[in-house]
Amino acid sequence: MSAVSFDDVTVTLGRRQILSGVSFAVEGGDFVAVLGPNGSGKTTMFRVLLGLLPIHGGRVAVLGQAPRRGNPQIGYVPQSRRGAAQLQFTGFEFLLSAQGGSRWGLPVASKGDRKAVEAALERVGARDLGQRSLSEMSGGERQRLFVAQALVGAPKLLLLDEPLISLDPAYQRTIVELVRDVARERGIPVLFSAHEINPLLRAVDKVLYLGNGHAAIGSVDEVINEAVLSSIYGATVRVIRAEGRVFVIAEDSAADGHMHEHDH
Amino acid sequence: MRSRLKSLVITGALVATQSSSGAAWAAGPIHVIAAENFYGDLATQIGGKHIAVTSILANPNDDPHLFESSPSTARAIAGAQVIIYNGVDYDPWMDKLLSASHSADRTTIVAGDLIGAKSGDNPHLWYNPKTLPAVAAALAAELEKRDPANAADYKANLGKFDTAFAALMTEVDAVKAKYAGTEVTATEPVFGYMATAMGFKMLNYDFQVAMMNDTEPSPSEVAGFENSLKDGTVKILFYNDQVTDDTTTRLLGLAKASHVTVIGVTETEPKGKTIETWFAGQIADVQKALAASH
Amino acid sequence: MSGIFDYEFMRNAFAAATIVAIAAGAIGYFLVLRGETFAGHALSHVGFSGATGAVLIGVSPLLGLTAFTMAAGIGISLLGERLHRDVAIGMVLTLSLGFGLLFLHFYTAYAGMATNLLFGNVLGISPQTVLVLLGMSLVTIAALCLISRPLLFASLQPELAEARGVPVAMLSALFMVVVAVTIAQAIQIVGVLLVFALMVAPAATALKVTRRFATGLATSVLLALAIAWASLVLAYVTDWPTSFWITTLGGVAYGLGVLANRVRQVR
Repeated sequence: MSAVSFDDVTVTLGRRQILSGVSFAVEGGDFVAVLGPNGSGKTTMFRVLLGLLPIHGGRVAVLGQAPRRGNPQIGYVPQSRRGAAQLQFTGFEFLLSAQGGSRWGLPVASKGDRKAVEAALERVGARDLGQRSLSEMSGGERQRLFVAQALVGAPKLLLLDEPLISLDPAYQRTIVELVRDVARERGIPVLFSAHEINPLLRAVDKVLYLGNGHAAIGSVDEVINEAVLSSIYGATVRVIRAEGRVFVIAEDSAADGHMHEHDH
Repeated sequence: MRSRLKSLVITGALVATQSSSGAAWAAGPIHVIAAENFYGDLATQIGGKHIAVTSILANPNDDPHLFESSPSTARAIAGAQVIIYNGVDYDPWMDKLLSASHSADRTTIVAGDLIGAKSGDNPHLWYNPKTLPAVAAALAAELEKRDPANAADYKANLGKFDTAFAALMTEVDAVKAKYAGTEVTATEPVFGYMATAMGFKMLNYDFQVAMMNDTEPSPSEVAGFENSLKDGTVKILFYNDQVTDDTTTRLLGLAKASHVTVIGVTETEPKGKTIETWFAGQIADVQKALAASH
Repeated sequence: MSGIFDYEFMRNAFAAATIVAIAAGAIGYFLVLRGETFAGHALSHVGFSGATGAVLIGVSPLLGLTAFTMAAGIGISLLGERLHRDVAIGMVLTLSLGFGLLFLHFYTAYAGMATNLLFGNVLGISPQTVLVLLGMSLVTIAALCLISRPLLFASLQPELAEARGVPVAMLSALFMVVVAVTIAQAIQIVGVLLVFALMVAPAATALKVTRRFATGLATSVLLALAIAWASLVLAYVTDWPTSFWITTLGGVAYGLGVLANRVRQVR
């Protein structure tokens, strides 16, 4: 059984077709880098897996089941964290607020909730972050906290949506290694979306490349080459390797936004 | 914009002895609160030295529509024995303040109730010839009941006021006899009842209501108003000095340019005047204006 | 000073201010946490239109303003799903103010009942009004207790809450209704123009100086109570309007909160 499988999946948002006939499978224990330009459907794919978006064709299976909202087996780090940087809440309090957050009533945390949050903080080496205010943390420290949150409750699959955005290179590496180590230790698959492949090179087993509604999956070399990317974009794409890094350069505007040194 | 009631005077005795027992009051003067100062003036004329009068709205420079009561006002009301106010939603804060302070030993005299005015009627009742005599009679009766020893004084004072007011109304009737049907206008319906008593035809009423409620008059209302000034239809513009804005100021200029007489009216009795001198002055202004234009 | 509670109007004022401060402090805390203070500001102005509409058809202004703020609250959360949130709020605000003007246009009598609500009148609270406020307050606080757990989660991490199956959109609409009812109460104390002071200043201060949900909420409520009580006493002593003191003390509290936060970060 694949951890995640897309079989000829089509997703439309409004009038725009985001994914058209996409098929791929992620096996248990794989660390998958999800790449592709802005608007290529990375977040859309995550939302489909989380059961937040309906599909308009094909079949999707997550951990052997159809996607459903609130699946506790998925650990998720969403992309945008509106206002978290201004919050005075401690890291621990912030994580605790999510425990049992889908139940009605007063936000009173149980002993079990506290234990689960403590264990997750411990696992990512963020005990001290639990006591500090979010507003006093660096972006990287906050991201570490969010990774801890995704680990609460022993998930069977991790989805991380652009967790490296606006982190400095050193912290990017720390986060990638942290996620890789936890995933290996627990033997769970990871879908990790990013703007470029380089920070992930030492961790990835596979690359899932999205573009123009299509997808390609395979090892870094199998996917990030001129033939595959050119066919995804429908235009000539050049791939240059230098000093252990990979650069993708688009020859025409189709791949604009995917210049690798380009950021949000 | 907010009114400050600096002119509110409360005697120390009023604040200190706000007990509700009737006996405590018997010795001192009867405390009367008037929401508007012309009712306060009236109370002073009827009660003379036997009563202590406090008027709440007394400053002609304030906009009486935008009024927030202060703690001293609320205290004064809590300690008063007789309350006089206009009613018909003109002073809804008074209803609220009264509902917040219950008192067994308190009489309220509501002008609107005395003359049968309803909520929704033009609230500027003091210009209605029936209002002040009715309030005066009700107050005299109440004071006689509370203070029988001085009943004769109250009766005499009431008689004096009624005579003086009747003389004023004779003048009003004279205006009506001579100038009935004259077309006049106003920025607000303040003078409305008196204009009716004088037999005038009041134009642009919808405009006046809009100004009264701090809302925007419609284009046709403004245009109608301007035309009535420009083409010489109206002879007098009654101008509310207390509630003015760009629109009314423009109309004031237009009236002056078109040689329409402007008579200022206020929603409080001007300083240094009594009801008699205040009303007499306005009646004289009207007579002068119409004598000149006819 | 000694006689402050001898007056029935002062006792009523304290009772009403206590009831409203508790609700405003608690609900304001979530309002600020969610970054929806502009919505709160808008709803209070919407209340004015509701009151004029009520006066026009001859029902109680409190009823009209509650109904109007509730409808606008639901409208804001529904429109906010489609439009940019600030745009949705602005649209609802201006639309309702336009209606307020139209109501005044059709109202051919004196609209003192409605304009009175602009500044509120805490000294003119009858015992009946105290009871009505108590009832409204109990309902809003009960509703808040019921939704507070998912609301806290959805306020702090909306994307994650949605993924975990929290009905984020419905919660947002429910919360707006709770806010609307709270605002309708607060208008009785401080008036349409100054509701912001009672709902936002204590909550924003609490969020600055606390690091935990429970202490933050408690601080917000206690601060709102302290401000309301101190304002009534100061108004009694100085004879200046109560709402002036509420806004001033709210501003001072927030200033001190910012300062305390700075000092802590420097250390």
